[in-house]
Amino acid sequence: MKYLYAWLLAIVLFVTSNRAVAQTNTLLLRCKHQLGDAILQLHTQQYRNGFDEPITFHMLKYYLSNIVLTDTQGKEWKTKNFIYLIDENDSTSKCISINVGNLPIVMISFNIGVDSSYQTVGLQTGALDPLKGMFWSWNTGYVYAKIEAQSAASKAPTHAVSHHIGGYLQQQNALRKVQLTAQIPIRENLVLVADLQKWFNSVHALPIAQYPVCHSPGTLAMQLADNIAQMFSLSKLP
Amino acid sequence: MKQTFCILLMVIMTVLGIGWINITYKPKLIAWIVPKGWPKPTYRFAQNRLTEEGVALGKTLFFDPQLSADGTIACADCHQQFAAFTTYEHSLSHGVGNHLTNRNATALQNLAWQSNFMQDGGINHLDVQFLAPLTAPNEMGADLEKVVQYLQKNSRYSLLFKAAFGDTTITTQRIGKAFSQYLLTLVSYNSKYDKVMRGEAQFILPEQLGYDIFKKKCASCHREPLFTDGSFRNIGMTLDSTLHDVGRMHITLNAADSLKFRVPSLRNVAVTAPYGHDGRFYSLYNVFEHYRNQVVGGPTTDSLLRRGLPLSNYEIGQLTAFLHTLTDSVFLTNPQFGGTSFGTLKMGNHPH
Ligand code: HEC
Ligand code: HEC
Repeated sequence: MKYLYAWLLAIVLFVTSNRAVAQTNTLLLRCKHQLGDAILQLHTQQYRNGFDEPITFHMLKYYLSNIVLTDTQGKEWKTKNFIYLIDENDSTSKCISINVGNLPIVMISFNIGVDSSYQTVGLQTGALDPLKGMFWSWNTGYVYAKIEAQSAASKAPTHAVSHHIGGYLQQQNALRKVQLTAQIPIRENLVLVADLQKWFNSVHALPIAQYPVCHSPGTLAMQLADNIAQMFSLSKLP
Repeated sequence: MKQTFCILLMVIMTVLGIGWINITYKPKLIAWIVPKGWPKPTYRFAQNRLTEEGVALGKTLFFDPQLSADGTIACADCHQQFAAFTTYEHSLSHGVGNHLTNRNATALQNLAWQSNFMQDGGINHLDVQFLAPLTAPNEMGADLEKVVQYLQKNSRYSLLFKAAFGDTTITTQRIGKAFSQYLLTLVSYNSKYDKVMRGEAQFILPEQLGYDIFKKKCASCHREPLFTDGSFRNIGMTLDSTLHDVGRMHITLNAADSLKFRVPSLRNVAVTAPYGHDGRFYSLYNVFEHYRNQVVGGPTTDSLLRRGLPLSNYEIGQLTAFLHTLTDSVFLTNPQFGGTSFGTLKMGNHPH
């Protein structure tokens, strides 16, 4: 019996010591979705975009991949997984933990979308399982970012605003890289704010009245991707 | 003594535990052979080793109408073995709620050599292909989540998944791999043509004359031994004003690809009527008529066909004789593919 205890103790020690050895600090990256200064609420709240068009959101999902944090000495820290699916409706998905060193973080970079190398080799699991509803079956590829919403300005059936943005083929590439520098080096939590106003209006002016639906790769998807890349900023407030 | 016993017990339990995992999961690998003289397949078998259990699971899925939204349509309803896995005598096929597909169902054969799927090449891997018909509202109209739930609740599938993959976990990836395993076994290489090439048979005169014409006028696109070069081409078929199908351009969004469709294999072509991407040609004769008299020379029409393909009535007769040598009755009746038993034909059920 004594041996059994010793055995268990050894396991416990092994597991805990392994953790202690790596001198890392865990940082939380939180995604926060807003329209201007207003916090996004699905279903219940009506907002106005930059074209004064009313809009109520029902779904917001997007992929963040290849997230890299850079500390004050230029050392890079990566997330455990390569790809994360952020879903407004799933609060755990909006919080990503990253192991970093003891130095504060000055820069973050990530891609919005999925590398083409994941899109030509068959089916993936986890965040990339087609069950997550972010996969085009008729034209193989992932949807990188998606909103389902409604607006009186939309002439689509049920006044839908439905943007599914993706594309990896040449001249359809909707993968966008974002790089943000922190004004003050960050030691604790990183808050990544996405302002959905910019989804419709930043690099390109894409009013709902003209562009209620985007369901395939192509020019509109790439323009929306340009806009989406402009949504993000780092906030110091939790 | 008690201590030694304790250690021994722990060791034995660990060994047994590991052993048990290995003992219960021993799928039988299938040797997948490339027919002599054929190119290397494009499918990456190393990532999805064919096993008897995997193929059995794929076959069960292929014949299961419960996967569809209303439990009426299986893959096998549109892909019938005796018609080389096309829909027999249908230009377009029926999906759930009697909706029609937008295209003529293609033959399912020699898929391991194809680098893309569907006649516009929109699908880039065999493992993901099933998602399109499964979820399309005019085909099986299913919700992927519900399909996974149905499979999870079904004890027969639990056993099949466990036998194929080692445990009962059901993921989209596993479903896709199982479909592929079954589909990859559908290799047609035993037609008279193949036997002639292997020196096991001889063409009769009209077949030989037809083969000579074929090599001159058709083989640049319908390349041997697969009878397709896998490229996308416009053979000068007019745009159907009800279907508005622009083919490859739908995927590449490039105007230069307008009205281009993948060159279809002509293996088993005698049993796959009607023909053309929308099934507008009812017989081989209609296809020949097209090539010699109806080619429309648009901006993307293939340069080989700009002025049509001159074919005399004699040549048409000889070409027809040759095309019939591509019928592989071993393939069409192979009981291992599962589509030959009476129950699965469901002729009585079929609306037309
Ligand atoms: C409602 C009829 C229908 C059903 C059901 C159906 N298919 Fe198909 N299938 C088609 C049609 C039509 C095409 C051609 C589509 C195209 O070219 O766009 C096709 C094409 C294919 C192809 C591509 C072949 C090639 O050469 O590119 C494969 C593979 C396939 N089907 C497998 C399946 C599987 C697996 C299922 C079941 C999950 C299934 N099909 C269910 C009608 C159907
Ligand atoms: C320039 C390339 C090219 C040449 C040359 C060519 N074909 Fe085709 N063929 C195609 C393409 C592409 C299709 C599919 C067209 C579509 O559906 O839009 C096709 C379709 C067919 C079909 C219908 C098959 C089916 O399953 O629907 C038959 C039969 C056929 N060709 C026979 C021939 C014969 C016989 C010749 C020679 C006399 C020939 N082709 C020459 C490219 C070619």
